[in-house]
Amino acid sequence: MSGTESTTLGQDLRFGSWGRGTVSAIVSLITIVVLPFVVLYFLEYFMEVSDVEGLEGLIESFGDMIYRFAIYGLPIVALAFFNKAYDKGSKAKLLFTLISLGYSLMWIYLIFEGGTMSVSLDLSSMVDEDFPVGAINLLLSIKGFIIIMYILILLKMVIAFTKYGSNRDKYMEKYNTARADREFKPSVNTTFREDLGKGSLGKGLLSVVVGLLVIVLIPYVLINYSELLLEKLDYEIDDEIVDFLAGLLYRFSYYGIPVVILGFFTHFYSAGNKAWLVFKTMSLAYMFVWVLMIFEMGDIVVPFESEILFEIEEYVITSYEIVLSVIIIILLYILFKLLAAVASFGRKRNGYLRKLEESADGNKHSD
Amino acid sequence: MKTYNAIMHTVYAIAVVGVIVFVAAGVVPDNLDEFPLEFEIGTDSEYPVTDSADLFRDNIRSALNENNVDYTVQVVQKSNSALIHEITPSNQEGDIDDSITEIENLALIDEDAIVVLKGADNKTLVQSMIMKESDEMSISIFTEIRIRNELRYDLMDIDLGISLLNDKGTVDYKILEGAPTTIKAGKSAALPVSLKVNMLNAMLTVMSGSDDSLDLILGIEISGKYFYGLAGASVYAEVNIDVFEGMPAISMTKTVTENRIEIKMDEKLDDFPIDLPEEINITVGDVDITIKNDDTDGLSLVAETDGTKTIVEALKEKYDSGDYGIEIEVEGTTETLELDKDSFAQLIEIMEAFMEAFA
Repeated sequence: MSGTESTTLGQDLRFGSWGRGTVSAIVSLITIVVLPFVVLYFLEYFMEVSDVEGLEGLIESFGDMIYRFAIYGLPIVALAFFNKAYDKGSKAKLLFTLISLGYSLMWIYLIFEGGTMSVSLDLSSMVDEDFPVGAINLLLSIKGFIIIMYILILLKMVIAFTKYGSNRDKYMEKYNTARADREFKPSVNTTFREDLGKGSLGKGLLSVVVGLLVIVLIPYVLINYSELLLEKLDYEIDDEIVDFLAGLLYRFSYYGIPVVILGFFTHFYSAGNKAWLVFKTMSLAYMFVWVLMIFEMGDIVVPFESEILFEIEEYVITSYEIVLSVIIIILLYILFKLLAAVASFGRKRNGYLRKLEESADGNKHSD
Repeated sequence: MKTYNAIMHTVYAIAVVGVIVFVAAGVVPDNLDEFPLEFEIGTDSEYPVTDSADLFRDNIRSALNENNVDYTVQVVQKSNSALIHEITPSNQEGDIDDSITEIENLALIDEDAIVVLKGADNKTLVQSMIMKESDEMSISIFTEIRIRNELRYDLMDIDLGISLLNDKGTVDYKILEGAPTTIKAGKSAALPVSLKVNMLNAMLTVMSGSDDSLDLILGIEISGKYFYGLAGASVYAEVNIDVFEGMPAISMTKTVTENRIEIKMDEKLDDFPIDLPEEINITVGDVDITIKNDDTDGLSLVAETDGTKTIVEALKEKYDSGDYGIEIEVEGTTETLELDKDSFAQLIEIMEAFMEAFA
């Protein structure tokens, strides 16, 4: 394999992973934008229903800070895509890391209003008649901490360069392999039957051991020894919750055995192998059903399910609705993994065939 | 490069952990059984021997009352702990008078001496505030804000400022300018609060407010730094003091030009912090101020120049000459009172703000 000595920024920019970038952008969107807005929503609700007279200024200032965090954080969400899409050692990764860190300097400045934040409190309704305090203005200065944060970010910028340097060789190896895979014109194609015979027993068995531990052994111990454990810890949990969790674990373990078996095959075969795609698809499809069975096709009886956890205006959120949301998120994740598996197969197919041909050539030469 | 990368990661990790530990240590007090900060307002009962007899009487009485004294209190000289006199609960007033006589005798020998009130266990009594020597135009009060810092880092540049404002906030008369104090971790320190209120300035401040308002607002600002100066806070609060509580509604008219201010109230003012005589004539350089306060015409304040210069110009001229004395004529008797430089400068500032608001 003849490889490129070094790549240009343009070449590196074209060598990224859409999947990784998308996942990172979604995670950033949730943590930087969605969650802060949920917190803001609850803050506003809290202000409406609670008697916080006089402290509105403090809560509003805190809310404004969260708002600035979310709004000015939008470019960070976009940059998170590029940051994760590229590998360490890539010039593109270095570029976007530096842009992200550079923007973070501005982001911090905007969130904390340059390090000087003012809060107004109207305590006129809360104070003694003999000492009628009107408005209280609080001016907080955290410029020193902002400078420390800037120093840490600048240190991260230096680290971005050292990380780039120390991972450059590994990246070039990966880049050259991927390029060779892409440019490779397979002389023969393998069938599903041929692919079935090409796998790694070691990887498959390791997956079974891990699967048995996580899906069977740990739940078994938790189901059978939870009472003893709680007794030792001198901790009491409502019987209804214990029964609910035990049932959940039992179904997780019992219906999870096919996942362990399918895990053997998905790890036995490498990505790019047709058998891998088939078993991966079967495994993910079964996982879809597995989640539904764990949660009894959505008809699960949740403890205190009628009890309202939150009530915001006309919206009522119960524990059942929270469980239902969790199920939907897990199922969406499985569907996403299925799409990622198909994309991964397409990307790695050439590499798989190239390795097969190279090993066949090697065998021929040795003969 | 790999080694350098590892070193940089280690440096970064140490820096992040260091910052977290630094912040956490600053927030959690050293001793969890104590409050992080303890505040107390009050000052030791000690007085210079040169104070007047009336002032001694007021301050000693106030110290004894605040401490609910039912035991013998010793009046001693601070420098050598020599006993001057004892104040017994059974003859308190008589003992106070005798103590004052002894203190006056001591003042003849040593005018810099300071006397202290010692209570049970020979501890110095503490009182909320001490009245200082005042004149017809000013009131001086001294106290301390004692702060105990149970946090791990020093509280730096703790400062206190107090201003008098009118109800519109257009005039700001500074009555206390603090001296920044640092309170070491685990130690106590006292912030001196030395209030000196010039009544002319205070009166002009009150009257510079809305036409029908005599509200006096106290602007209190406390500031300080923490985390070795990396973070700081400044709290500003306004307290509305109803100086004329219980008075009937007033109607006030103000006529303000650059060289004449006239403020008239139909009612006589009885409840001002100092007793206002029926007529006071004050001369500040080329500015004549006449205050009349009687049952027939109510209260009036007229400040004017001869017309050749504005009031502010005349005051500035006087200030620049370095003579801060003002002549006060009350019921035919004239005396000169020396204002300090700051009070005079503030008088000019108040006048300027007054002009800006009304002229």
